[in-house]
Amino acid sequence: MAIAIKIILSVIFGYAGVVKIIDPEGMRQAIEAYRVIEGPLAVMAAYFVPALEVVLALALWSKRFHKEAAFIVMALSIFFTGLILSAWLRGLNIECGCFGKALQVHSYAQLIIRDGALVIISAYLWWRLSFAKRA
Amino acid sequence: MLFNSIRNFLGKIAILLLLSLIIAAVVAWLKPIPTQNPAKEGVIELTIAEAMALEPLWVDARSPHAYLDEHVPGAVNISLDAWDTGLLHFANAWKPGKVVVAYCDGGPCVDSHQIAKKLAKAIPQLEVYVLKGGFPSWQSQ
Repeated sequence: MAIAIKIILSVIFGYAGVVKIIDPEGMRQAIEAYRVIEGPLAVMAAYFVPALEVVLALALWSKRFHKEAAFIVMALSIFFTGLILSAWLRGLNIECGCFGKALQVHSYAQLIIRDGALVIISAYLWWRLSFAKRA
Repeated sequence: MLFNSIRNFLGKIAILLLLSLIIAAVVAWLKPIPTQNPAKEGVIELTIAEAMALEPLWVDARSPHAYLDEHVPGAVNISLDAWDTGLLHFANAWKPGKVVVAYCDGGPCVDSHQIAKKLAKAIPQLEVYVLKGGFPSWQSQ
């Protein structure tokens, strides 16, 4: 089960990171569309978030770092879900930007369900890697 | 024991974040992007005090729904989605020589910049600015 979740999360985060690293300008525009940060901060986030996603996708397969990677994946998924929810509540009409210009989803409900699922499976993975063996 | 586990856990998180930061720096070096949104270039922004001093014709570049909810008194609504209709309303309200200040939601919103550019292109003699901080800055003054 843990292996299957690792595959799912590393494929999703790895793909999301790579497509956004290729197009940092598009990522910056997607970030600014959320109307939370702009200018230099948005530029820094446009570089950092995709890099973090790629690092996490790889770290999930490292015995030394997999627990920590699962924890950050969970935290990041919670953050993304909150961000999408806040955009929805503020009535913004935006693309998710989650996978750059690829795989665009236009429904907020679909996005929240998708990210909510990521929160649940990453939380399960973190719990499994960190505590399940001791129980 | 617990303290050491937490310290070890946080240390590894720091390593992952640092590694991401290094990769981000390399990508930034290879693929630099401007810190200023290109959509905001070519338009002068005014503070609320500067704009009020000009007694301008306000242009509300937000959605019609947001405009109906609340707007600067006397403002004309021109949203990007209803440019033609908005321009007609603007033509009825604007008098030659009157300065125009456009606003939208503030923050990273660039609709007011885009509307200002389109207006300047449509009416070359127009003196048009954008309100820095957008509608929230008018609400808070």
